[in-house]
Amino acid sequence: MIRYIFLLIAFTLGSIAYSSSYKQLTHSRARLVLQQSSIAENETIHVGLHIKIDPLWHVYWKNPGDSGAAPIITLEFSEQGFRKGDILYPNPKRIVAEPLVTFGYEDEVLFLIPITAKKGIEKSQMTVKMNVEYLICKVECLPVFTEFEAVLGVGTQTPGKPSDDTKIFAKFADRFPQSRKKTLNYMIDSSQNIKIKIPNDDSATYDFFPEQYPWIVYHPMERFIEDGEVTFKITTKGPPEDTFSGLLVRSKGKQKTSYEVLVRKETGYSQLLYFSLLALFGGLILNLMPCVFPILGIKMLSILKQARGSRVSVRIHSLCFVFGILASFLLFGVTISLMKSFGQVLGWGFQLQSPLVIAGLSLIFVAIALNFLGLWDLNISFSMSPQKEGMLAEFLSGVLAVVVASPCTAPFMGAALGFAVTQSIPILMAIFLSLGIGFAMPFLIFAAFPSIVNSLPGSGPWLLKFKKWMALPLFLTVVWLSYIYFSIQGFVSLLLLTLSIAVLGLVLLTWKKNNKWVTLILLVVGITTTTASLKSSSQGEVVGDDFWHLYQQDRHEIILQSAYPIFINFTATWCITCQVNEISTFRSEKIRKFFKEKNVKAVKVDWTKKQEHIAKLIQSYGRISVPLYIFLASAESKPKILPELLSPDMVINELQPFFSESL
Amino acid sequence: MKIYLYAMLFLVSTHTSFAVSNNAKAPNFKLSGHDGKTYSLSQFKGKHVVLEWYNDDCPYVDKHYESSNMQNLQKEFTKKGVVWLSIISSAPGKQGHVDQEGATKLVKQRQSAPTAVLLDPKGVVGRQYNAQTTPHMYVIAPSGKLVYQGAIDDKPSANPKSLKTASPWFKNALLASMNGKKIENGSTSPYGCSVKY
Repeated sequence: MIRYIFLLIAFTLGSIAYSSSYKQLTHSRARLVLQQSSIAENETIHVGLHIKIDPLWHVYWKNPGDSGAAPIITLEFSEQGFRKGDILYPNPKRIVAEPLVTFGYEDEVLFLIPITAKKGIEKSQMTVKMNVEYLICKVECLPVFTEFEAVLGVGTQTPGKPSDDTKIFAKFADRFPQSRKKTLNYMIDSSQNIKIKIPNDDSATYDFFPEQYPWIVYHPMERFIEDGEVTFKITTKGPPEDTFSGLLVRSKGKQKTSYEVLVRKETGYSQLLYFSLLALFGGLILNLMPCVFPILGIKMLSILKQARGSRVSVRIHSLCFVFGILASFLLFGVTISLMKSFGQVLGWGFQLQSPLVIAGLSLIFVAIALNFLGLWDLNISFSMSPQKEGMLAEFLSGVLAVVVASPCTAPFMGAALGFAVTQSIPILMAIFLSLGIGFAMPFLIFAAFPSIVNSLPGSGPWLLKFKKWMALPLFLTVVWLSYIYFSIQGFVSLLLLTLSIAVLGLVLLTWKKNNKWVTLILLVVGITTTTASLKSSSQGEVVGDDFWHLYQQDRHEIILQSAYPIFINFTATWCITCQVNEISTFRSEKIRKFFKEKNVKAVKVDWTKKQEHIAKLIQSYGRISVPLYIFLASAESKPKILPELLSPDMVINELQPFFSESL
Repeated sequence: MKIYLYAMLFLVSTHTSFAVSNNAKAPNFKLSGHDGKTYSLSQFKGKHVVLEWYNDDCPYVDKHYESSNMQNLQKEFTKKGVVWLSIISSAPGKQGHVDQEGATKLVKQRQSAPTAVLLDPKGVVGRQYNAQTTPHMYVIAPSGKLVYQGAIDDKPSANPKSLKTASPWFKNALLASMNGKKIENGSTSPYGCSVKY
């Protein structure tokens, strides 16, 4: 008896501070484990819950199956500046109690939560508090509530030290899904069952665990193996969704590899046609969006320059511009597919999240504007005929048009893009190509009917004047690009970039008169300032105001799950359409009054910088692009997606029904 | 090679469970209640009927009874003319199984207020409706069609604290159906202990 009391005291003490002893709990023993005993800034490490389970008992996977419950693990940090991710689950197994099945773990399990330390944490250590609830079952079930604490060292420079728990981590290392995600297709058979097919190499076996969906019957799941193909047949008890997720486990000998998979309905031709048309229209409308302003000058000049030209030359030049557009869209498609296969989510407009691209574009635009003003011209021979040079210029203008004008989406375009990224590579490319064709449509029309361009007033002294005026939108574009650069890189970087622009101007204006050495020195100075501006990135944090609540990942729950209704505004500095909506709609008294009256919480999610968690959040609404406006009336209601171009009356009209219904 | 070199069932199911789809007619059943009377679904045509799968020893059921959440729902809706049937499908010898006397005792202890507690020791009705967990909630509209099946709320936790922030899916669905409104989410994933067939 006394011995038991001692044991009890020992366990209680053990629970107060982090220790390597396990807490005795209902039919199990558990403790908090650390991948490393310290964390460096910008580093991500895993905090785990290791549970040793009594024989015949089990705990559950994230989808517990027909009954049971996933563990609920929450972390609290004693210090600011840490971020936590979602729980990671090792591969589960099937536990059957006819006629039901559950997915879970026997013997032992390790659940992981990634935590990341931000930059500039001053404290040298931090206490992690882990709150745990898990259900443990044999036939009957018992809930377990407990909590753990551990102290984690915070190193500013030195990399984290390995902890004593490395053995446990090593044991489970190959039981977690690969970071690379897979995409599979499904078909529906005549009896509304789902069939998933995967290619099979002979010595491997496969198992599939669907995530939790009320329309899936988890048990029994049939598996057929025929010539080189494994088929999973899943029974449904409701209409299946277009996409769903699960875990695919591949076993070869003793080795198991698992992948998180997205299973999507195989695309029918009608669906492909629908989304291609959507993309085509979206691309066409993109020509009328505020985004196009920066390249307006370039576009208009390229049309006017061809006026009075021969039909053939109009055709050739227009087609070169078109090819530039199509090539860029296809390149975007390839990049997004490639990144996707590496498990990275790239959103539309990703190019303007890169400081290098913005700096480059600023310099190019200044150069073009100075050229329009007649202050320099490209008088070196590329050892090609003027005809070919013209064609190359048109092609590059097309590329520039896409790089600068595409980041914000036009109506129809958002849905098409959102669909494209869930599809296989050929379909994704087809949608991107449709977008490109839509965007290039005006120039395709010029190519088909050169007489339209022919009838415009031809070149003359007025064109030279006009060209000079067209430098204005280009300079305004540079102002806008500088603003983006400032938001991403901070003030010092912006100053350095401005310096580079000045040096570039000097080089362009004087390079013919100067001796080569002066030009060379100027170039070196310019390159140095540009490089320096790319490096010195300060965190230009965006702040909320009295209207907008600012979204931050570590406050995800507080902001997105606490109060309804919520209006979420996904925006970015580089998205001009977003800025237009901000001025036309969100600054209007009418909207602010409406939101206040109806108690709508306005949340702004800023995606100017590349941030994976925001990309994922956008993707959870079936999109990959901004502007995106979401309205959530309540926790259960379906998110309402508003159009890309807003006006105050339209927003009120769209939202009003949600409020009249509840009264 | 032959088509279907081999076909493999992960498990051969001895009992086939029939899932009932929403908007399909809810299958009729006849069971005896805690009060000794026999109840059938067909006798309640024209009324809203709630089926609640019940196992008093399950910690998830306990959360809803200990906090009086379930009893309050039962009282609120039976007052409005809704028929509330709590069904026990635990097999003899398994957790939650009770006879008529035991069921009456539970009603007294818990001060619950269903129209009746029904005994389904063979699990026939449970399998008919594909009841997976306790609690597992079903709403049958006056037309006899199934309009809701799934969880009682959105918090799969045995912690009574979770009730505070829970979104009451089942209650919302029942209210919507009674007010002739569209049910936002008629099929959700139930949570709790498995039904002890």
